[in-house]
Amino acid sequence: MAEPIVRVVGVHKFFTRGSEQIDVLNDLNLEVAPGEFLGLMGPSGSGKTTLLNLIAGLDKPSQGEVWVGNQLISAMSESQLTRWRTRNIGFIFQFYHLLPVLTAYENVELPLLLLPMSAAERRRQVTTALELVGLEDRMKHRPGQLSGGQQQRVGIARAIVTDPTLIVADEPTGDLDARSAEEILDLLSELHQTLHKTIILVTHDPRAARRAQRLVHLEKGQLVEDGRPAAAVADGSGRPGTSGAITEVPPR
Amino acid sequence: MKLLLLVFKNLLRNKLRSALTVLAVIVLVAIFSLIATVLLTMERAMRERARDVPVVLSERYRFPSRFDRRFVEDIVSPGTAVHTQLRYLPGFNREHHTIWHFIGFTTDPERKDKNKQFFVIATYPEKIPAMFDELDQLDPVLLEKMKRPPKSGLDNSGILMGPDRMERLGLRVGDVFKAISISHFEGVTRQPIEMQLEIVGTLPAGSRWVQHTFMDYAYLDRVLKEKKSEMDGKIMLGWLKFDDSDSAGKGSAVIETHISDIKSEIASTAISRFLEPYKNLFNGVKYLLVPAIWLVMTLIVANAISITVRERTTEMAVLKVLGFRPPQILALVLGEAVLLGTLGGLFGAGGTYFLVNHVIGGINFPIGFFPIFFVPAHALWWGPALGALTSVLGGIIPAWSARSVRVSEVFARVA
Repeated sequence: MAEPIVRVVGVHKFFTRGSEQIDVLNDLNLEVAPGEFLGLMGPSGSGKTTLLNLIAGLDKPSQGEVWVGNQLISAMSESQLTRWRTRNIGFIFQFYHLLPVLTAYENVELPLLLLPMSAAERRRQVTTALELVGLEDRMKHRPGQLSGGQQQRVGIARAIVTDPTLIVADEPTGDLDARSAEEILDLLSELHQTLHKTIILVTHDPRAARRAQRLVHLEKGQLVEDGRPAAAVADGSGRPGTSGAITEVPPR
Repeated sequence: MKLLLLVFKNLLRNKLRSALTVLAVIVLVAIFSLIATVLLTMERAMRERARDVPVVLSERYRFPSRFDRRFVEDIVSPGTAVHTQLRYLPGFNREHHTIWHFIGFTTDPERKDKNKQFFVIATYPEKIPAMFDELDQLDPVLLEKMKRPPKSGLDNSGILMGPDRMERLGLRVGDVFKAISISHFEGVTRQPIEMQLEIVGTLPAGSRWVQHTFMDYAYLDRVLKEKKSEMDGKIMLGWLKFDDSDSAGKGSAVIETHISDIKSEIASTAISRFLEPYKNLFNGVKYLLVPAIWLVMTLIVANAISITVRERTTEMAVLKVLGFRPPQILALVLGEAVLLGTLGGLFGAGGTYFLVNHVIGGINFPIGFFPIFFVPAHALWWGPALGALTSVLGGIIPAWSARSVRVSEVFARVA
C-alpha cells in the first residue's frame, strides 16, 4: 500500500454552545491514499463537513492529528494554514461561491495571484484549467451569465488551477439539476482518472457516491462503514455494503 | 494590480451606495476645505515670524486708517529724530519700507456692475519684491514696465494684476483701459477720478495675490494732486521690514513715541488684534465643528463599509479558503474604503478649489485684513489625503471583522 496522503489520527472535535459541549467527531481515524477518490457520506449532522474542513485546513481538531502529505496541519498556525492551502488544497463548494464581479477567467485566476508567477504563466494555467472543464469559450462571462452547471465548472477550474495535492468537494452537485450534476460528476471522475488527483467528496447524492472508489460512512461523529460504493448505492441506503469490509485503500 | 482591480470592481457592485458615500465625503470635504481655508489663512497671518518681520503702520484713531505719507518719509529719512533712533537698531534697514494707498475702480462707465469693480494697491513698484511674500521672484522687467508701460506711453500707468481678477474682469496683459474710481473724487467737481491703466503683467498664479492689483503710487499721486483730491498725500498703510522680531518690537516703540498719531505693530500682532472679537467663534469652529465634520465623515464611511462587509462575509471566507491571508483581506476592504474616501476628497477639495477660486471669485467673509479668502492650492492634496485618512479610520473596524471571519462558521451557516 502506498503511503497515505491524508491521515486523520484519533481526531476529536467538539463545539461549545454556552456551557454545553457538542461532540461532532469522536476518536476518528481515516487514511486516504494518493490518487484515491473517496466519498464521505452520512446523515445531516454526522460530521462530514467538519471532517472535510479539518482535512482542508479550514478548522482544527480539539484533539488528535491531521496529516496531509508529510505535514501535520493540525499543528499549523492560522497563517501557516492559509499559505499551505494556497498550494495544497482545491476546494469545490456546493454553492460555487464565485465572485460575482469577476469573469470566469478572473475567478479562476484568483488563487494564482497569491503565488509568485509571471502573468504569462498565470494565463497559461488559467486557460488550461478552463479548457479542462470545457469552458474555454466562456472565459469572459461573469457568474451571473452562466448556468449553475457552468458555474460549478468554473469552481472546479478554480480548485485545480494551482495543481493542488488534494481536491475536496462539499456537496458539489447539491445545487444542480440531474443533468448538470451528472456532467460535474463526469468531470470529477475524469480529473481523477486522467490527472490522478486525490479527491474527497462529501455527498448525500447516491449518484455522486457511485463515482467514488471508496465510501466511508459517518454517523454521530464516528466512522461506521468503510468500503466499496457499489452496494451502498444498490440498496439505496447510501451506506456501503455490510460485508464488514472496513478497510483499506482501494486498488489504484 | 489585479487585486486593485478587484477592489475597484467591488465598489462598482453597488454603484448607488458607492456614489452616495463618495457624495457624502465630497460634501463634507468641501465644507472642511472652506472652513480650513479661512482658519489656515488667518492662522498663517497671525503667526509671528522670527526673521524678516513685517511691521504695519496705521492711523491710531481712525478706521479705516488714513494718514500723511510724510510720517513714513520721516521714519526712513536720515536726519529726522525718529530715524536717528531707529538707525541704531541692528535689524532696521531704511530701504525696507513701502506705502499702500487703496483705491477702488470700476471698468463700467455706469459704475453699477459689481463684477467690474476692483481694488488697487498703489505702492512703490521697486519695493514690491522685497516687502511681500510670494512676490520676491517678480520679474524686474515688469516693475520697470509699471513705470514705463510699452503701449500707452503714459508714465507710471502700468499695473500688475492677479490672474483670477484679470479673468473676472475679462482683461488681458497688454490691455489699456479707462478705470473710473468708486472711492476717490475730484476735489472741486466731486466727479469720480478717472485714470488710464495698462496691464503690463500678472501676479503669480496660485499665490495669495491672484485677486490683487498693484499700481505705481507715483501715477496716483500725480493725479490726486492734479485733481485736488482730498486724498492727496494720504496713504492707508505703511510697511517696514525688520530683520528680527526683537528689532521690530523696539522699532515700533520708537515710532509710537515719536509719532503719536501712528500705531506701529508687528503685522501678525495687528492681525491678531483685529481678529480678537472673533476668537471664540473661531475656536468653536476649530475645536467643535471641524472634529464633528470629521466624525460624521468617518461614520458614513464606516457604515458603508460595514454593510458591504456584512453582505460579503461568505466571499471573505471563500477568499480565505483560496489562500488569502487575513492582512490581505484587511487590505482589500481598506482599499475599497480608501478608494472611496480619496475619490470623495479629490472631488470635494478640487471642486471647492475650482468653484471658490475660479467661479465665485473667493469666499466673501470680510474680517479684519481679509476681505476675501481663496482655497489654497495645497487643498488639492490635503483633500484626498483627508478623505483617505478618514476612510482608513472608518474602514478599520469593518475591515478587521472581515479579516477575522471564521471560515468553518461561515460555511456552517451557509449550509
